[in-house]
Amino acid sequence: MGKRLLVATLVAIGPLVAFAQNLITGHITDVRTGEPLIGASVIVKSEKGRGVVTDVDGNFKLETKVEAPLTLKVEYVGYRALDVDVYDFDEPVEIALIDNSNRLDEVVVVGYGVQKRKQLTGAVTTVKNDELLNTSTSFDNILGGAVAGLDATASSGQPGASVNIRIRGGNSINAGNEPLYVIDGVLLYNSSSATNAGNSVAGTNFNPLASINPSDIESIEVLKDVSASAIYGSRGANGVIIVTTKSGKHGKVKVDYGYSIGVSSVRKRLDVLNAEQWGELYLELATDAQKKASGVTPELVKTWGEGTDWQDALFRTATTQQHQVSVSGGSDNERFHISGNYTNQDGVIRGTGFTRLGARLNYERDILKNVTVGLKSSFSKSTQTGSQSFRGQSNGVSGLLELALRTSPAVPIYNTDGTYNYANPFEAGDFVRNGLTPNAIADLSEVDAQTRVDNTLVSAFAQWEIIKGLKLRTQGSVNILNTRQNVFGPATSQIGFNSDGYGAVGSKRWESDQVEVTLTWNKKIGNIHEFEVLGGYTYQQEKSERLLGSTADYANDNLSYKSLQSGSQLIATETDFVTSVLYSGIGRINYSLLDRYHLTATLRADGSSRFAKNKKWGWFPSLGFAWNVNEEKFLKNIKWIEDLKLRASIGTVGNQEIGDYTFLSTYAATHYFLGGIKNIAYYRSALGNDDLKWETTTSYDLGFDFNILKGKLGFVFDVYHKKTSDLLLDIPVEQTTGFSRQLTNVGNVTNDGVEFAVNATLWQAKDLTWQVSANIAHNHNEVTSIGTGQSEIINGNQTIIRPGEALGTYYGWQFDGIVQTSEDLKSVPSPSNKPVVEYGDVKYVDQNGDGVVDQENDRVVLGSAQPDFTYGFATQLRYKSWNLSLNFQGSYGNKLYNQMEQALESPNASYNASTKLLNRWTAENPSTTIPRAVAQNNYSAYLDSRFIEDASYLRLKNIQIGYNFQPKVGNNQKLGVYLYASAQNLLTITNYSGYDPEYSGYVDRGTYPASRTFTFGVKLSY
Amino acid sequence: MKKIALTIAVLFSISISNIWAEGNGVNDVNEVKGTNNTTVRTIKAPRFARPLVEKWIKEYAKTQPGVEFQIAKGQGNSDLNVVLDDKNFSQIVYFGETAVLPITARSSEAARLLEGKHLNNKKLKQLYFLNEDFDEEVKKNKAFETITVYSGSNATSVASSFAHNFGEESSNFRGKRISGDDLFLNTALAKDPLGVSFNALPNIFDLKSRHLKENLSLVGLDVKKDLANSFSDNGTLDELLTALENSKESEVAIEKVGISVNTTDDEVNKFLEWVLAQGTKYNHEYGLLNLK
Repeated sequence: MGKRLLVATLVAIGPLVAFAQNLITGHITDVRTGEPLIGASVIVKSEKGRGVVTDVDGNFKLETKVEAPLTLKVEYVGYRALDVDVYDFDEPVEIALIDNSNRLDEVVVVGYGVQKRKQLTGAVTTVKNDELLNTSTSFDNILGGAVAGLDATASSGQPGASVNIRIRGGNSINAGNEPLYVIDGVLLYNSSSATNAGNSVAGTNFNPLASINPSDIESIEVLKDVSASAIYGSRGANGVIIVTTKSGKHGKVKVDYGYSIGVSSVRKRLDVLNAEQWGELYLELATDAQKKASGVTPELVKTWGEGTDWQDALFRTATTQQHQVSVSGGSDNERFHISGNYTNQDGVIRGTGFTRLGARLNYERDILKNVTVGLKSSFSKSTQTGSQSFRGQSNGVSGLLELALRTSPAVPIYNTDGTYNYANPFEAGDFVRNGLTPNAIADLSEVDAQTRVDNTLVSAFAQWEIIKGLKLRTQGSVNILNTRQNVFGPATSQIGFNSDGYGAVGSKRWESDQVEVTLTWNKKIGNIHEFEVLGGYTYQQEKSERLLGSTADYANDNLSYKSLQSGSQLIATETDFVTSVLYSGIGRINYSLLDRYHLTATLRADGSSRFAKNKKWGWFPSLGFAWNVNEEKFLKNIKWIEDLKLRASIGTVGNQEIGDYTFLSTYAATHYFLGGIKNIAYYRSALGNDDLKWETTTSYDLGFDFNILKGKLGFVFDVYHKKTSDLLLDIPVEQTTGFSRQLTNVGNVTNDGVEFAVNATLWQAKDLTWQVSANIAHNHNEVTSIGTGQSEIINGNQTIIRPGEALGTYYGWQFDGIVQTSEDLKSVPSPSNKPVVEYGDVKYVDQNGDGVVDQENDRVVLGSAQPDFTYGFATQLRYKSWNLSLNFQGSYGNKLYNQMEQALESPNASYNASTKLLNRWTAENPSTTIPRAVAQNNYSAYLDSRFIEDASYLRLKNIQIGYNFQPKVGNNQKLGVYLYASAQNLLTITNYSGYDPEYSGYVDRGTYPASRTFTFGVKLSY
Repeated sequence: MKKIALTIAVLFSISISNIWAEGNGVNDVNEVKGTNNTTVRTIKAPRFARPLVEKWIKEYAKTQPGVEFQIAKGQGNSDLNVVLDDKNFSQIVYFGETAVLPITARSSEAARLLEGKHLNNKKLKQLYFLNEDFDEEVKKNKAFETITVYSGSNATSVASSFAHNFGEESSNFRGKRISGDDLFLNTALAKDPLGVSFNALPNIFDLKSRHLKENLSLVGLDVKKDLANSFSDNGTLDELLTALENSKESEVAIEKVGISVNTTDDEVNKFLEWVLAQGTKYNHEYGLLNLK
C-alpha cells in the first residue's frame, strides 16, 4: 500500500517537478532601427549565474527557477542597460534598448581613464568600430578622411609600409611630427626606426603598427587639443591616438571568423615612349660614337615597334588573403577575448609582399568584488619582402621602380633562351661593368630582401577600488620588437653589381618597458559638484640594440645571406646600443558644476634622458573649460536642441622626439693608415649643448559641439592656434668651435586652423537607415622664426625653411616658357650653367633682372606641400539585410615635387622618357611647354616650377556592399553570415601626373604606388 | 480503494500537465476545434480590451451559433489581434479609442508627494521621461526624485501611446520596465510605495462599480476646472469617458484601438462587420471611447 501511494504521489507530482523550470522568451531590438541586437546579455538578477545572450535574431530563451515576478537585467555594449520586471512568463519579453552613441553620457577613452562625452573639455574624435571593419591590413591606413584635422598619407604603397599622420599640421622641423600612440595604455612613438636594423637596402619603412590586427580594435580616440593631450606632457605636442582593443563580454561564448580575398593592381601607369618612339629620340640625342657603339640606325629603329613594356613586367595583379578568428565571452566575474589572424598580401610590384601571423589574448577577472586584474597581450610575426633600394652608385636613378620605368624599351628583359638579359647597350656610367648591366626585373626576383619583425606587446594591470570612488591602478607593460633584416644581391643585381655580390644581416632588438601607478578619486556631491582627481607616476625605458654585418664579393651565390662568411670582402660590422628613460608625474582634476560647467586642469612633469643635465625636467600644464549651454534656462525649452556645448582650452605640451644623446658632445670612430697599418682614431663628431631641451607647443582651442533633432544632426567646430617654440635647429656657430653648426633651441612654427565636422542621420526606420558624415579642416602652417644666425635654410635645392613660409615650401626657378625662333637670343636670360641659349631651350624668370638665371638670385617660392584644406566624406546606407558604405578622402591645395616627371622629361641616350616628349620643341613644332631634346642638359638637376604639381585629390578610399543573413545550423541555432564585396582606391580624381598624389614626402621620385584593390569576404558569427 | 487512489493521482497529473501546457502555449495552433468539432477562430487581445472582446464573442454567438470565436491563449498565432494604432499592421479595422491616464497606488508615498500637484504636460514629461531635468520648483522637493516610474515594454503596452503624447519614445521612460500585460503595472504599484505608472481606463476602473479600482489613485492633472472632479479619484468611469469625448486634454494620451486581421476567412470578415455595426455600442460599458 505504502509503495503504491508513493508511486501515485510521484506520478502526481512528476509533471510539476518536470516543469519546475520557468521558461522566459523574449526579443531584444534597437529602439531606433528595430534591428535585433545579437549577443545582448540577459541575466536573472535574483538567480546567480542564470543568464543567456540573444541569438542572431535578437531572441533569447531563459530557464529559471525563480517565480514571477522577477527582474531581468539586459545589457549590450553601446546601449543603456535596462532592468525589466517580468510578471508573466506567457508573454514574450519585448525589450527595445536605446544606444548611447549620440548620448551625452557616452563614455570616451581619454588619457589614463574615461570621461563622459558631455563633460569633455577637449577636442576628442572617436573612430567607431564600424569604420574599422574596412579591409585594410593596418588601422592607421583608415584614419585618413575619418577625423577632421588628421592627415594620413602612406609613406609608400608597399604592403606593410608606414603611414605618416599629422594632427593639426606639423609642428617641428627636425624633431618628429608623428602623434603619440597609446595602445591599451602602452605609449608608443610610431617610428620605423624601431624596426630598422640599418640595412637600408632591405627597406627602411616597416610600419610597427602593421603588427596590430585592425579586427582586434574596439575603438580609437584621437586627442587633438591640449586639454586632452597635456596628460602626455612631453610627447603630446603632435596629438595622441588612443587605441583600445576588444575585451570579452558577459554571456555566451561568441565565435567569429572572417575570410577575405582581394585582388590588387596598380591604379595608374605612366606614359613612356615605346621602342620605336624612343629609338627616334635616341637618334636625335646620341653622339655619333654612341650610335656606332650601339649599332642603332634609322632603319633598325623602324623595326622595333612597341618593344618591351617594362611597367608591364614590373607590375602585377596581386592577391591578398586574410583569415581571422576570435572567441570571446565571459561570466559574472571574468571576461576574455582570444583572436588569431593571418594576412598574406602580395605587392603590386613583383617580389614584394607582406605576411602577418598574429594572436591576441585579452583577459580580465574580478578576483574580489573590488579588485580586478587583467592582461592584454598580442604577439605577431610579420615579414615584409622585396626592396626597390639601390646600394652604392645609382647613376642618377632612384631605385628599381625608376630603373624599370626608364630602361629603354628597345632592351628585352629576357634573352632568347629565357634567361635574364644583363646586356643593355644603352646603359652608361656606373651601371656598366664588364659589359654587363643590371636588369630591374631580374633584381625583383633574384634579390632576396626581407624585414622580419616579431612584436610582443603585453600589459598587465590590477585595479583596486579601495573605497567607493577611490581606485588604485597599477599597470606594467613591455613591448619588444625583434627585427631581422636580411638581404642578398647576386653579382648581377644592382646591389651586388660593383662588388660581385653583397649580403647583409641586420638585427635589432627594441624594447620599451613601462610602469604606471595611478590613483583616481571620484566624488559626486548631490547634483551640484562632481570631481575626478587623478594622480600618478609613470616610468618608461626604451632600449635598442643593433647589429649589422655585411660582406661582399661572393664566390658562390647559393647560400646568400645565410653564409656571410662566403663573401671575401669584409665590411665593417656596425653595432649600437641606445637607452632612454622618461620619469613622469601626472595629475588631473575634472570638476563639473551642476553637470553643466566643466573644468579640466592637467599637469604633467616629465624628466627625460634626452635633454641636457639642467634641462631634463619640464612641466606641462593645461586648462580646459566646457559649458553645456543647452541646459541653461534660456535654451532649455528649445526641444530640438539636444546638446550645445562650448569648449575652450589652453596649455603647453612638448616634443622630445629628437633622438638620443643629441645634447652631448659625441665622438665617432674613424680609420687611418700609418705605415701601411690600419689604425683606429676617434674624433669629436658633434658639438654638445648644455641647454638643449624639448620643443614646446602652446595651444589654444575654441570649439563647440552642437546636436539637434535628438542627435540626428550633429556639428563639431574647432578653431585653434598652436605655437611651437624652442625648435631644435642646427644653427651656424663660430668657426672657433671647430664646428659649423650646433643643435640649438631656436625658432618658432605656428599652426592656425579651423575644423568642422557634421554627422547626420538622414533616414532612420526599421528597414532603411541612411547616415552621412563629413569633415573639413584648414590649417595654416608658418615658420615665424629660425633664430638670429640665419635667414633661411635650404634643403637639397628643393625646399626652403624661411620665416613667413610654411614647412615644405618649394624653392626653385620659375618656368617662363620655351625660347622660340622668333626671339632674340641675346635678350633671353639663360641658366648660368648653360650660358649659350638656343632655340627650344627652357626659359626661366630672371627674378633680379641681371641677365643671368642662377640658383642664388633667381629662385622663388613655388608653393607648399601643406594643403589648403583636407576633407572626408562617408555615407552608410542600410536597406533590410543589405548595406552600402562609401568613404571619400580628399586634399586641396597641396603641391608635390614630381621629380620622376622631371627625370622623364629630361631625355638622354640611356633612358626612356615621357610621351610628352613626342610634342617636344622643334623648328617645325614650336612647343611652348616641352623644350627641345638635348642630351645631358644642364638644368635637369634643378627644381623648376613645371614639376611642382597640384597634388589635390579626391579619392574614393573604400566602397563596400554587403548582405546579412542567418541560416539555421544544428539544433535550431543560427549562424550570422555577412557577405561583402569592397573596392579600395576605386576612384581618384586628381590633376597630379605621377603615380599617386597621396604621398607623405616632399619629393616624389618613383614611390611605390598605391594600388586599387577589389575584395570579397565573408564573416561568420556564432 | 487502491485503484481509486491511483486513478485519482494519474488524472490529477494529467490535468496539471494540461494546465501547464495551456499556459505555455503548447496548444498554440491557429486552427482550434470547437465543442461541435467546428473551426474556432481566435482573437488575441490585451487585458484592457479582453472584457469587451469576450462580450462580442458572447453576443456574436447569439447571432451566429455555428461560428465559434475564442480568446487566444499563449504565444501562438491568432486570426485576429486587438492592437493599438500601429503602422506595422497594414490592415487594421478601428473600433474605438482608449485613454491612458497616469496613476499611482492609493495612499502610497508617491500619492502623497503628488497630492495637489495638478501636473501639466511639461511636468508630466519631467516626471516620466529621461533627458528632462526636474525644473527648479520640482528640485526643491528632494523626495520627488525618489519616485520610480513603471512602464510596460510589451508590444501591446500603452507605453508607446503615453510616450508619443509627450513627443517621447517609450525607450525614454525613467525607472523600471515590466514585461507582461499592462495590468501588471497595477501590481508593480502595489509593491512599490514610491511607484507611479499609467494605464488604460479599463485597467484602472472597476467595470462593474464604475469607480477606480480600490488600490489605485489618479495622478492629479492640470485639467479644466469643470472637469476636475471627473479626473479625481471620486470621478466615475462614465464621467471620465464623457469628459474625454467632449474635450481634448493634452495630458491624456488617446490612442485608437483596432483589430488586425491575419486571415482571409469569410467568417472572420463577417465578424468584423458585426463588430463595426453592433460591437462598438459596448465601448463605454467596457471602458473605451468611441471613435471620433
